[in-house]
Amino acid sequence: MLKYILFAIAGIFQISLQAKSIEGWIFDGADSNAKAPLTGANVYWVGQTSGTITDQNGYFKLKKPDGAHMLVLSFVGYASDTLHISGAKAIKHTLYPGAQLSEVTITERVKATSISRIDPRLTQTISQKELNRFACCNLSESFETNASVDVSYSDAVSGVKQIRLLGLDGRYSQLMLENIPILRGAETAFGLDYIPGTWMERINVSKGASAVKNGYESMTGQINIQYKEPMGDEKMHFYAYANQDGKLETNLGYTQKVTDKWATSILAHGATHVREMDMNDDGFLDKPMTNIGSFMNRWQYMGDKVDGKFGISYLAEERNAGQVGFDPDIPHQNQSAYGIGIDVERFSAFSKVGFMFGRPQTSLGTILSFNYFDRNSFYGDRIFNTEQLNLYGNFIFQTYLFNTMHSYNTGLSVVYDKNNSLFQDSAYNNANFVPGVFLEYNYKPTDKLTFMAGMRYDNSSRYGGFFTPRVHFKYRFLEYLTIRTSAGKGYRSPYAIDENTSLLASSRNFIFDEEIEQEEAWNYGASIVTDYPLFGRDMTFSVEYFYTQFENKLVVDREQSSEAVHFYNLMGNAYASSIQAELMIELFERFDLTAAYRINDVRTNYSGELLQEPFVNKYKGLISAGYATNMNKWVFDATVQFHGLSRLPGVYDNDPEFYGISKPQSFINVIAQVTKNYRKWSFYVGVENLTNFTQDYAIVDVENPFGNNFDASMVWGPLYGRMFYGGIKYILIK
Amino acid sequence: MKKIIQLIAIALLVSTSVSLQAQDKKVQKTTFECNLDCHKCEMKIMKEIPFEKGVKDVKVDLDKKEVTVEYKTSKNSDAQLKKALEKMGYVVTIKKEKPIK
Repeated sequence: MLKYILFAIAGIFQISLQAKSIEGWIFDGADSNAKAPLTGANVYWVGQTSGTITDQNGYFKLKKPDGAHMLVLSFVGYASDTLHISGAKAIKHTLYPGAQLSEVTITERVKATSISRIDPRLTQTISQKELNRFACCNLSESFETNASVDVSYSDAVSGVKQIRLLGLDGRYSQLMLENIPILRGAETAFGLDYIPGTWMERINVSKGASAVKNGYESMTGQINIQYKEPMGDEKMHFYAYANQDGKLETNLGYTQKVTDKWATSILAHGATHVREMDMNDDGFLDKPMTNIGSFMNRWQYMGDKVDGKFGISYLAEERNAGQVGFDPDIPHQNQSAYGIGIDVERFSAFSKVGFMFGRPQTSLGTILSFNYFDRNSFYGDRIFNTEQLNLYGNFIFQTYLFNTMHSYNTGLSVVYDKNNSLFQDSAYNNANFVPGVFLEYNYKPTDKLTFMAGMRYDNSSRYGGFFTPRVHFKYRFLEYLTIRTSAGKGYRSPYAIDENTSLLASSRNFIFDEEIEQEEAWNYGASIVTDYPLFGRDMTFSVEYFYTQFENKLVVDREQSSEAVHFYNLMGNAYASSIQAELMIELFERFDLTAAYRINDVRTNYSGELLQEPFVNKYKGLISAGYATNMNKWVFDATVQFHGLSRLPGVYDNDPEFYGISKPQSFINVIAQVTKNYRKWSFYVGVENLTNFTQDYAIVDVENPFGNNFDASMVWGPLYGRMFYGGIKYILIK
Repeated sequence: MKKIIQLIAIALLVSTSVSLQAQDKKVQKTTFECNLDCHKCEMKIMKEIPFEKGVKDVKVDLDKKEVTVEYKTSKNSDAQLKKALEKMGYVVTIKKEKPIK
């Protein structure tokens, strides 16, 4: 019975759609038969989020919204075409192999944040427009206006921000720069600060199990960053930013075409902190005195059968924090004031080359990357130095079986990680060599249904061999409703001290109860997304649920004692469940509104007791609004964040005031910005933490930083009050 | 803090009252035929033409290859706007003129 009702509803939709639809056939230019259909090609309107895929006959049908007339046809490994659509006659068009291997770019569709209809995984794309809503300095801050990713401070002195996805720390999601895994091991602690916001073209956030071709590491999801490319739209950009707290920042990007097939670009970023501040009078600097400089040179090659991207980058950073009287120019051993000093140097290089073959949907991609990271630091009289080398190679062959309904990719990867650390007087040296193979099968019989199953096997020189299975299923019905489910496994090699350096800002002893094993977790997820245009306006509503179940976890136990942190393997249960509802709507012309609400339940067994994970908010709410005047001359943005209650670890939770720290509360945070755009220049002013809510006391035994009770890692809320900022942007389009 | 808000409020009031005063002036709507062929052209035009003198509204129609501009006749003219489009590298012809006020 239900089936008939559904059919009837579908029928009604069909009729109402026929009036303003466009249909057509796309043919495969690679096939000698001139009218061979091209299955699975993407068809979408420029400036719109709606799109579809061709079926096994190369046929598509797509609604034509008002004002849409530029139709994009694209297919992996093929040159994309854009057609002007006038009238309602059917389209017959042939796509030819060549150009762009990597993935279909969706930059034309300028929505601030959008959920892909095509991707079998639940993927949110954060575009330039979203990144501009909050003039932020680096990757961690670019998530302030996003409901899915949480941003918080890790401790009260180093100024390092961390992110959380599905309620779990950012290290459980895989961070990638253009599909190359980055910020691993030793870099997880503050690597997010190393990705300048202005270098980014867009960010893709995929929740739940990921594709096996990118490795075994993702547990909660993937965050893939796309930098601006030499062959992109921009010729040049220059940004300058200053804020009330004395942070100054500049960014520069410049691209140059070398030949018809080669282009290059440079990206430079510099930031400094010039004002010593202690607004809460606790004797400690509120924000560290930081100098950071980074530089990148990229090259891009686009040939008929070969695509290539190459790059090198260098970064240097120094961070000084601690008590107001601390002088970073004098060795810390010779001073009575408590100081923190962190010096970092990083060098990396990458190469990505793709080869297209005569057969449609068939290509070979190679990715090579090198990363060297060196960190020297002290926290009071504790020394922590790390030197890390990461080498990565990934070879992906992609093609289809019988016809393009059945496609697959397979290949092999090699990862080598070497990490030498010195903590106080103990050396922790380890190396891990992991070769692996993978196979992923994709079944796409229609544009409505996708089934994806992947498996990989890796053999670690430290932990032995292991399998990583992952499956995804997507089905779209009634044109506007998409359901997705996924399940999959992920593994991580934990680096206990590197990943918890915020605990160095305390007098806790680091105690390793046992040899730490590889971390291992299952993730299950389901989501439903509808993008039915409400009253003719764009609208997306989604509900999602994700559950991460740990098989093994590095337990960071601050519960047993306030003078020690214990590290051990999981005994018993650890899980994270996250349920989120999100509505994105264009309420009236040029006014976008996002409202989201999420409930987290994250628990870990701490020496026999299943406790809520400390510092994780029980809920998070977000309302974000953006309005642009006609022709985009003025842009107004505001975001309100609602943070639920969190828990402090151990004895501190019972009576935090007794230990001199503020009791956790739920709180509201507001950020707002006004931008004025001119021809090439833009000016903006904004404010962070408009409500001026702060955690007044964040350091335990602040009077005795060298004593046994000192602890600066008890941070649950914003440490700084209201802050104004302003800046200028200059962008030259090619 | 209060002062800053006051200043912003005053600045906003002044700018609105200025634009209100200007509305009595005569507005002209002109359509230019233009050899546009891609989304990037639209992006480029929307970054340039709105900032020409006296321009009140700009609509780009890629389908018809047209750019429609509304502007105050006291501040600009068809010829000057045509020149601005030509400066961006387009071949332009003035299609029709339709006075609004």
